[in-house]
Amino acid sequence: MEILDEDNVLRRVPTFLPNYFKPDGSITRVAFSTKKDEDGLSVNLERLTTVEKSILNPSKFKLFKINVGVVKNEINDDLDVVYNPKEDNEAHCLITGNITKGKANQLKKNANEVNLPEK
Amino acid sequence: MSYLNTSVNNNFDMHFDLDYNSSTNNEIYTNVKRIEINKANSKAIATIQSFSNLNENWDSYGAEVPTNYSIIRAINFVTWLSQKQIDVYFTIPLPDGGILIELKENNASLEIEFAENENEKDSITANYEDEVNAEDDFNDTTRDSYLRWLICPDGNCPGDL
Repeated sequence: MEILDEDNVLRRVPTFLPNYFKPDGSITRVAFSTKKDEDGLSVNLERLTTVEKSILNPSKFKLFKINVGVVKNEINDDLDVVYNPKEDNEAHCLITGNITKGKANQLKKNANEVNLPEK
Repeated sequence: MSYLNTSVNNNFDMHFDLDYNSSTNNEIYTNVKRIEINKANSKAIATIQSFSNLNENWDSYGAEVPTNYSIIRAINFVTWLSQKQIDVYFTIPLPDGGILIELKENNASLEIEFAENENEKDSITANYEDEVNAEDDFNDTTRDSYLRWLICPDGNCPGDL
């Protein structure tokens, strides 16, 4: 599947035990850092999922959105977004490339919180 | 009055009875000496200790539980900071089993990452206005020089730093 620059991807950020929000309300760049053995940063393609599905548990996570074009063209420097569907998650994608602390910081700065739709 | 009782049994043999709701400072008794811990750092120690209760996959992306190795060294560092009267700003577990401690002064901050085991290196990162400014392996030399950059960039540092 082709991932377009117009697409957005979604990433969960822990808010409760532990809490990735700092006392000043900003989030830590660790929310956009990979583990050592990961092939990329796990995200969900927005157009193939819903906020409710992606957030898993709203009492433990918030959801952040980042534009694919920003990742590939502005943060750039070998970062890419590739489709990587899982058996239980057809929206799964990876942000690939060397996600340094500086790039994780850039991802954080370009991510916007997604609100749960009102019921 | 509620007390947090935590014990860490390892090579360091430390025991804490911390009341982080107290208006007065806490004290840590080690087998070496008594160390006064202020409220902010008492709370940081309690938070770090609580990371051992996390379940695997706590971040929903396969994160590992912080190891005793990282927890003990992070707590030791907070204890050391208390001796220098430096407060922890923020602390979180890392997805590989390490611990991050952040210190902050105005627009500058330091992030110290304690690795999950002895095969991985600890690191220290200096940030200014939320941009990475410098990064090194963490050791006594980089610890002191980065702390001087954070706390006394004009060179007018306290005597023990």
